[in-house]
Amino acid sequence: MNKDIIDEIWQRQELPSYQRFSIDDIKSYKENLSTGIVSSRLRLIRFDSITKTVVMTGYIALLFIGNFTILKLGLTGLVVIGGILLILRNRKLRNKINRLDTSKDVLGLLIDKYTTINQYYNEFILSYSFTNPFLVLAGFQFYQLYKYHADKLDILLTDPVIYLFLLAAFLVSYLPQRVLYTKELKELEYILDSKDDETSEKIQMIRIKQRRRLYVLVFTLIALIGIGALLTILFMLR
Amino acid sequence: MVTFVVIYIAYRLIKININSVIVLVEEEVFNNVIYEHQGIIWKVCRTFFRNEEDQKDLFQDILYKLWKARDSFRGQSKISTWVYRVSINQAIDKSRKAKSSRTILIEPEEIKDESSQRTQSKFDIEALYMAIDQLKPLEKALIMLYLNQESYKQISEVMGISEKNVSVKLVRIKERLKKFYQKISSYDE
Repeated sequence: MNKDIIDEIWQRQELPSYQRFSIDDIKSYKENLSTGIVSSRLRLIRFDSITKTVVMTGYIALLFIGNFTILKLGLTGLVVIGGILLILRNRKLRNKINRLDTSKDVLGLLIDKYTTINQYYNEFILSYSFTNPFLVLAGFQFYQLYKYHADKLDILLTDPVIYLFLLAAFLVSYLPQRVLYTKELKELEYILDSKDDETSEKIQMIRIKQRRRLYVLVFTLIALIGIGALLTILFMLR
Repeated sequence: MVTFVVIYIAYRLIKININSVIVLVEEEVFNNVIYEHQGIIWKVCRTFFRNEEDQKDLFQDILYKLWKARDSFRGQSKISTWVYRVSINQAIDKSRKAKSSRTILIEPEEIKDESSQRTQSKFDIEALYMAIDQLKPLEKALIMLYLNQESYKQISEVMGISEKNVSVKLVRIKERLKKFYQKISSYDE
């Protein structure tokens, strides 16, 4: 068994006969195009932007329906400002994904995908999962308005059971996406893993940057939640 | 005023016609590129998928991606480099989603009964592809480029690694491929 034999076998293989394809045929292949990871991510990002818009609209509507309170105003402000910033971030992520160039060299494209998923998509999963609790909370407020003709946000926020619902709403979105994200990341790491120092170093750098971004994100979130909790307690003690 | 309108309409009509001609020329050029490089695309499909249906699906996916990416070709590299890159990138992306489907190798007894050279040749190539199937995706791409007798420079441009790295990786991959191939084809003895 030697190189010449393998070469000969390879050159001997029969290929399908060459044919011409019409551009209309090629364009029609789009419908059959297997849904790659990239296109499914783009759909999810679009869906999240739409959901966030619906949630923001709901909170603005709630502000004008029922009692007008400082707590409601504060919550609406938080949801609207946060929502707008996160939708802009979604747009940035979509542009980043759309700019992934399939005509780039193979390793370069894989590293771009790895960077995008590792750094930006990780943050997106958190942002996507936080939409649901606010949706649930708005749902509870609308329900109260419908059933009791009164908006009791302050009572809702002091009820510990509501937090269980909010946590469940968060986890229902977060956990499946987290599992999928980890799987995809591991697949890319498997493909990129090699005894090649060049590639391993690049992967290490990406991981280090991602860890730093995650620390900043977690501390920021904790700080925001802490401020929110403090304001709520101060309001209740008033 | 009337002259101006007439000139403007004539300009728009000429522009539309020029655009149509440009589109037709573009399509013709693209068609020629695909026709000349079909062999490359088929070899990429066979390297990454063993099942014929999957190969045909991937072939169509690649054609569509090449059409979409046609503006990205800037003439800084060979056309074949561009075709290889788009094809391999699409193949790796698709193979991540698909479960590997293994072709059942022709039983040695069937080959012994038929002494035709063509059947033996088919067995050999299937065994080689099965051996390649044991490799990781980047290794498959590297060995396919090597077996297609592409230069190290071209391989380096397609894969995005240095020529030295190509040489080092190929030594390792060829060793593993030989072992896998010998193991698979030993069923024939």
